[in-house]
Amino acid sequence: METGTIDLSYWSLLFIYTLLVIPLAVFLNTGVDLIRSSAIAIVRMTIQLALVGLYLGLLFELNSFWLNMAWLVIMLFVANVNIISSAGLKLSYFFLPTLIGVSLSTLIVLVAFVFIGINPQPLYDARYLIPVAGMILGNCLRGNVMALERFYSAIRKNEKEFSTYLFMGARLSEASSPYFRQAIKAANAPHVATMATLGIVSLPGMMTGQILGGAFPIVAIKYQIAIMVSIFSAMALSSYLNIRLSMTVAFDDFQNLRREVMK
Amino acid sequence: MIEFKDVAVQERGKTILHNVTFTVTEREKVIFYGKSGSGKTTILRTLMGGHSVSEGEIIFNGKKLDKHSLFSVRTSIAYIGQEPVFSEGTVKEALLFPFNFKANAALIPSHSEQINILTKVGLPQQILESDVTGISGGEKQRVAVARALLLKKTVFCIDEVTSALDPFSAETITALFSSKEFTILSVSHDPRWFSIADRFIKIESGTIVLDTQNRSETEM
Ligand SMILES: Nc1ncnc2c1ncn2[C@@H]1O[C@H](COP(=O)(O)OP(=O)(O)OP(=O)(O)O)[C@@H](O)[C@H]1O
Ligand SMILES: [Mg+2]
Repeated sequence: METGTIDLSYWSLLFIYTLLVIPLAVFLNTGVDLIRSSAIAIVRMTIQLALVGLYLGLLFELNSFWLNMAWLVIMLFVANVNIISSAGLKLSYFFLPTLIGVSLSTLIVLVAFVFIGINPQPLYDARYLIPVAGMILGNCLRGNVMALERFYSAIRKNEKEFSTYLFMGARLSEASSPYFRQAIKAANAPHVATMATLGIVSLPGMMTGQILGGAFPIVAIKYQIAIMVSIFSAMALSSYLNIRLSMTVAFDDFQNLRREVMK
Repeated sequence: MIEFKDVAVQERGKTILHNVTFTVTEREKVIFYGKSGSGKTTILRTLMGGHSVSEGEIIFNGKKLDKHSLFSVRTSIAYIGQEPVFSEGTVKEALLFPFNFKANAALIPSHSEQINILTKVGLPQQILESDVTGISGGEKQRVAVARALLLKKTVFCIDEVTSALDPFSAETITALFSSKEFTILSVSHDPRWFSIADRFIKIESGTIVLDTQNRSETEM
């Protein structure tokens, strides 16, 4: 099934980097101060991917259960830390609740997709487990940053309204429900929109990669559908769990938002 | 019924209330007055659990205000804030909003009760369908009063609720709270409130500087 892909030579890759003069020209011309951060981002991307490439090569070759699990745990930790800090919250308070939320939702979907759906031999085969986990986590990351950031900034912004609800006898879950709904919607709506236009507006990265990698389009499409549904489910569950669980540490005994939990 | 014992409140490292001690007995009507920024709103909000108490304690109906008794305080006292806040929607939705909460679900007012309460605060019944963000400041304050009255409590925390009203409306609203049954803690500088009150507490820089039953002392 796999016909060989034309390998992208290092020289060609180097040539593709020269495309970067385009964003550089745009930013210079418009005076947008994104040049420094773009340069850092490009360098980071290159180094990180190079390292991951080496590491994944090793991971696939050894394909050991414990090594794969360890890598999965590292991915979950890094995603979690990223979510908390990008949402403007403090790690020391939220680390545990959101780790539970992210891990639980990723693992449930991962088990369904990889263990039951694909059913590779061995089940923990790094070739399936690691990239699928990466796709799910990468997408959940954006959604969860949005969910947590929206939720806590809405409560902070509408503090008077929120406390008025509490003073009128609302439970914490009742008083926070308008902001909860907004946050869940903001987190999940982009993925819904993406699914609606998929295939027409864009060929998603994973599918493009598979097709370039030599898979039949129909195989690539089946995987793509499975991954979109998995991401959607993981995103909905993790945004829900993360807000709910984070609320256990974010409010004081009187249900007021603790200022010290935000950056 | 309500007792503050040497209460202090801090926000962001700054002390905004200190050594606040007073007692309000049942059916008493107490006015808090004093300069802007002196801490009047903070006293009412602290009673409702809106600030954590850093020193001292608050007793409500014999129980210390803490996470266990908080809910009973919030369901026994109707609070009307200094700036009325509503979610988006019509006046009707705003009036009914608190009845979405489990604690108030048994009290859902009928249409005639809604109209009745609006009449009492001097608003026409057509206002029910108006957009709550579009009505005037004084109308908003009266909607907030109507909403608090629908909760059928006998203890009220009222923060400058007549400050945006014309003398006639202010008189109407004040009269609604003069009922013998009511226990009232009200922040106001309005002479109408002073005339229905039993006690006057003056706040200055986060603490009580005068606590008297004699109105003439408040004019000094
Ligand atoms: N959540 C808060 N965080 C920080 N400072 C606060 C907070 N709430 C109140 N303060 C400060 O406490 C002081 C007292 O505020 P408060 O609202 O109680 O005054 P007030 O007497 O009601 O004034 P006004 O007559 O203008 O309504 C003010 O200096 C205010 O800035
Ligand atoms: Mg005030």
